[in-house]
Amino acid sequence: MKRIVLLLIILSSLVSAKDRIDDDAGAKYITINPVAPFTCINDQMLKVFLPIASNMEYGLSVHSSFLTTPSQAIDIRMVIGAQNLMNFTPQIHAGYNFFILDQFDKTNKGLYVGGDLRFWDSYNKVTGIHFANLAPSLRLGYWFEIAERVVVDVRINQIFAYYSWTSLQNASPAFKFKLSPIDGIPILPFASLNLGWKFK
Amino acid sequence: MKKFIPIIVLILAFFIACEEDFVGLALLDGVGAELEYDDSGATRRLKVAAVCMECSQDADSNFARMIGFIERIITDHPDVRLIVFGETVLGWYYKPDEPEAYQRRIAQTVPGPVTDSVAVLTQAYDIFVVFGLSEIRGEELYNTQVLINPEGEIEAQHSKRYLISWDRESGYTPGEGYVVTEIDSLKAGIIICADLHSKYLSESIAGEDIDILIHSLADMGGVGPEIDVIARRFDAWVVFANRYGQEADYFYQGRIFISDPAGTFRAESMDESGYVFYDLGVY
Repeated sequence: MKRIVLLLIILSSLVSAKDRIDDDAGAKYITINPVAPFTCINDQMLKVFLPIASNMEYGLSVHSSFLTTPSQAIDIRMVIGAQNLMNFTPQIHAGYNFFILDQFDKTNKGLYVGGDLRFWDSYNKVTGIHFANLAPSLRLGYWFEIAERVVVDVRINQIFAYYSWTSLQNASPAFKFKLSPIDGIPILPFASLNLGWKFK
Repeated sequence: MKKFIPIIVLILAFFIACEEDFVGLALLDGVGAELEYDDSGATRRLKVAAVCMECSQDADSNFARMIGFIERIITDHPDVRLIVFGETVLGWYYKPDEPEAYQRRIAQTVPGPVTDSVAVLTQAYDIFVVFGLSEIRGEELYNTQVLINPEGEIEAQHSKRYLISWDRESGYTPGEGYVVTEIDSLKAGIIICADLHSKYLSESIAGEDIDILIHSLADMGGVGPEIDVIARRFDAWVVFANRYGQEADYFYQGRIFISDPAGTFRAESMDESGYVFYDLGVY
């Protein structure tokens, strides 16, 4: 029963959100992922384990969010960097957040759910081969606004499928549902911390 | 200005590379769907076996096991052309109570009695064999992989360049240069275990446009990405040979595989001493 009530709240607020009047509508945010640059440090352990806490982002990761309504935001993430010295791997993510608690308390954004579609191209600078991927993910996060300007955004992202292709000859694109890239680990979500500034 | 200091630190961290000759394996390397690589129309083919051998402390008994594997593979696949063994298969990879003394005790010269004996087999069966051993060269000890051709000649030898702590404790000297050779008109590179972390080796060998990478190692790990990131790095087939079993306090899980240039595993095995076989195609 609780689940049904929660679902109804979410659905009704989705429908009604665009009609609400609130000072936050139209607010813009610029944030960065402060963990992502450290994945570029040339250390084996950091390269394997730190990306779990950097949303698999390697390098400079900058995001822009825009509140389309007080309780809904779209966000774009751009990542420039590489997982190692032989590759260059730009990423772009396009996502959507729905702030659940905003339905009850408009003073803070708080808990949100959402999803995104990410694209990345791992380009091998020596062989000249591209390995590109599109991956949808679901996310659960918490959004803090401090002093009405500073934003702290903590989230967990779970990729659930991949569409992959390559410039390598004789290789075909492939699609696969999977929750973890590691054999023997059935599910592997990626966390991220984002820090930034609110513009109004 | 003070508020920009954290941002400057982050940007600097982005550009910092701690070790000069190091290419790490990253989580992102192995993320994605497994691609299908079609080698059915390839113009050149090579039948390959990658061996996972259980090694004792005794070099003679390990050599006897090597011969046993060669004869078994020839029996199962008479048309096999290349047999790849793991790193330092004439003994334990690491003996903690006397690492260097032990490796010096089992070390062989190249050429020497062991390579001569393997040469007899490669001639008899018309095959290439790659295997690893502790090599004594003058006073120096090397972790070496030797390729012997069907004429019984040493076609190539590579000594491990990127030494890990166990290698250094065992007294090995790092190798120099890199090896790219030919096996039946296919270009083959040879690396040993952690050599994959060497930026110099990775860039040099991948830059040679190789067809096959012979990657022999002593690796305890069992889990890994569902995609072979090394194949993608080198744009080549990878033949991954390893060891199995308990050595002192360490257990080797025996993961071996053959993967295509898209990083998709074509043949793999784990948790046993054995081998995998594949007829790979190169355009």
